Amino acid sequence: MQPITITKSCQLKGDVLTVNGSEEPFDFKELVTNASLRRRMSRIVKMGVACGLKCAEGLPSEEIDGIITATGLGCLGDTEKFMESIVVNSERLLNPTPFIQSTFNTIGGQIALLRGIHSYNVTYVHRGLSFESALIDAAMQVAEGKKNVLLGAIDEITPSSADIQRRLGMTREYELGEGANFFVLNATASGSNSAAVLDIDTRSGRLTDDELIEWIVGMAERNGIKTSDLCIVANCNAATADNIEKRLPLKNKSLWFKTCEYPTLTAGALDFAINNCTANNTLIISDYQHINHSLILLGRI
Amino acid sequence: MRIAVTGLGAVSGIGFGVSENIESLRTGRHGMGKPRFFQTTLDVPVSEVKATNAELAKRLNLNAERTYSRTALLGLMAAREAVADAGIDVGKKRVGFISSTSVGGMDLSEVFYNDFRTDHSRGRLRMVSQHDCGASTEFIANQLGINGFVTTISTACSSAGNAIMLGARMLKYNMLDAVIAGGTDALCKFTLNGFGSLMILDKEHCRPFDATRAGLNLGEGAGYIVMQRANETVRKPYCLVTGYANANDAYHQTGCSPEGNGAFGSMSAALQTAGLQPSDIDYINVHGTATPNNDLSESAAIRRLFGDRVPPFSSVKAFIGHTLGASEGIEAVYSVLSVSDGYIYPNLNFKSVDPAIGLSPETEFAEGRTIRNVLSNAFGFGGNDTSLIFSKID
Repeated sequence: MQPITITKSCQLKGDVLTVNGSEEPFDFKELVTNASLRRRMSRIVKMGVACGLKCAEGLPSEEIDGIITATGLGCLGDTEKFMESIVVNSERLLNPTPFIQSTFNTIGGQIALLRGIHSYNVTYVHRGLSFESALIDAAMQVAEGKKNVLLGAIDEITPSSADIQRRLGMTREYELGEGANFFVLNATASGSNSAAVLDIDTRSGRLTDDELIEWIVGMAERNGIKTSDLCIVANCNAATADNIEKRLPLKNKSLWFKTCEYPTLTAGALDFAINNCTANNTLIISDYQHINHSLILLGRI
Repeated sequence: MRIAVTGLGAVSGIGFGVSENIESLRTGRHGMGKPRFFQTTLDVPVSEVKATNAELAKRLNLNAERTYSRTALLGLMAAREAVADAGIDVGKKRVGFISSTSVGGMDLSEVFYNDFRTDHSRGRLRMVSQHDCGASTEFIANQLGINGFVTTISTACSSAGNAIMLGARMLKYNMLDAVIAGGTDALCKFTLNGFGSLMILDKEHCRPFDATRAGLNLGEGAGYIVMQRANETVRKPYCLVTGYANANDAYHQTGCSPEGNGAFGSMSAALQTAGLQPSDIDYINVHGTATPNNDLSESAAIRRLFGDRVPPFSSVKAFIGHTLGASEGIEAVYSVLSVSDGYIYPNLNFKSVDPAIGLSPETEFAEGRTIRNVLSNAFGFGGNDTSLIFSKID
């Protein structure tokens, strides 16, 4: 894989929007001027569209060669709204809006529509590896000569999904989180000190500590990097993070990122790593529910 | 680098397995009927896979006591057939599985929701734990013993086209050695009512491209193809995947532009990837949902690209219905066989030319034709348009 640079990162958590790590005020009404369109948008669509449009700001539409989004659970609010209306209205005279906006690619589609972007557009929906899949695709797009790729991840908490995930035992270690993250990726290192994605790998199923260490060492080796030079961003639980520190001689102090759980949290960890790690090489280690794992190796260009 | 298709698997309303599907297409036996396998009050034809979940589990030698989403069962059936057909060893590290679906385990979730909606401590958890799109993919990958890269795409009705496109690209970049790609979707109340609320379901059997067409019929099923680099195949490949492209119409969340901008974009870019001219295409498996809007927009795009030399084309939607996330999986299987065996599929129910379209699809089954390249379209909500090109091996 050739290195791809990340030239911009945007994050929306609650009402706080950060661009390249710094907070920026924004007005959703200015981003989406059509009032009826705004009204139709659910919370997750607003989150994703706002974050995506802010990230794409300043780039002409014809220079955006791809919109790749990721979501573990998609537009849950609208999904439930439509299910409820089916029951309540006994399958008659239903409002189609929640159905239309319940599809997983709504946010990618809305950004394309609002900005008139006719290029490649795809959405990944694979649990804790949704964002990682999208990143792999984005890296290939850049390798294929695409100019700029807009890459994003969005997941929302709804009261129902929180209750279900609690009952499923998915909140034993962490409370649920949510958020939107978008990035601009390209091949050219515009601006000094841009972060570059050097390598990415994913695994599914349980991983033992030994397997994880072996995997980390293997990735460092195949990229010609000493593990001792890595700055670790631990998007995994504290026990795993401690174990990595014990087993690998690291010069830099590891940064522990994970404080909540949702399928596309890795996108938040990437934003954090880009804007907080000064070491030459950063490795983001992610674990979602102990079933999905990923390693993302970053460098500086 | 050449990407070859070495395995096929399909299940739909017209058959279990690829050969039953082709036999139905050959004999004009469609899959439409009243909904039998899920509860709905809507009186519209659908193309269901003709088996209950318990019967599907039995055919798959699964423990019938357990709960499976129908999406997962249909997907496993088609994926297993494709893997066996290709004769690949899936236990090898770099075999990937790329699936797609539009609603995942919604067929179970809506049963769960009936109990859950008034009391959040109620509802059987096993009916909701397979809700997410990744659940069916992981289940199929585990059943097949795949340890390599596994992911899921959901771009509404073009999902499986994008899964195949991703698979081909990952082979090209040497990130995988073999990949099983396609999609699976089960019919459910949610989807049927969704399309019903948009008022694009025809109460009669759908009529793609016909002047009297009045909407689509939904269907269910699954379809996967196995792809490998052409110099690494175990068996003689069916054909090559030479072209693929994805473009966005950026016109409306659910409707298509009158000029077919997205469709034109994806078809022309697919030709470009393949290094082909419009005159090299001998058959188009059109998206052809039979909604007034889709068929008009798609034909406008075809006319723009092919001028007055439009190749033979047809829609199989009147046979299998619109199978959404599975549609380009199943239709890719048909398209591959069109190249390898020279098949052209009949566009059922076409009687009169729509003056606004001015094109007539193929209405008879044909075989043994020389078909060098097939173009296959899949378009979806969100303006997501994908086109694939399958080509004969010289």
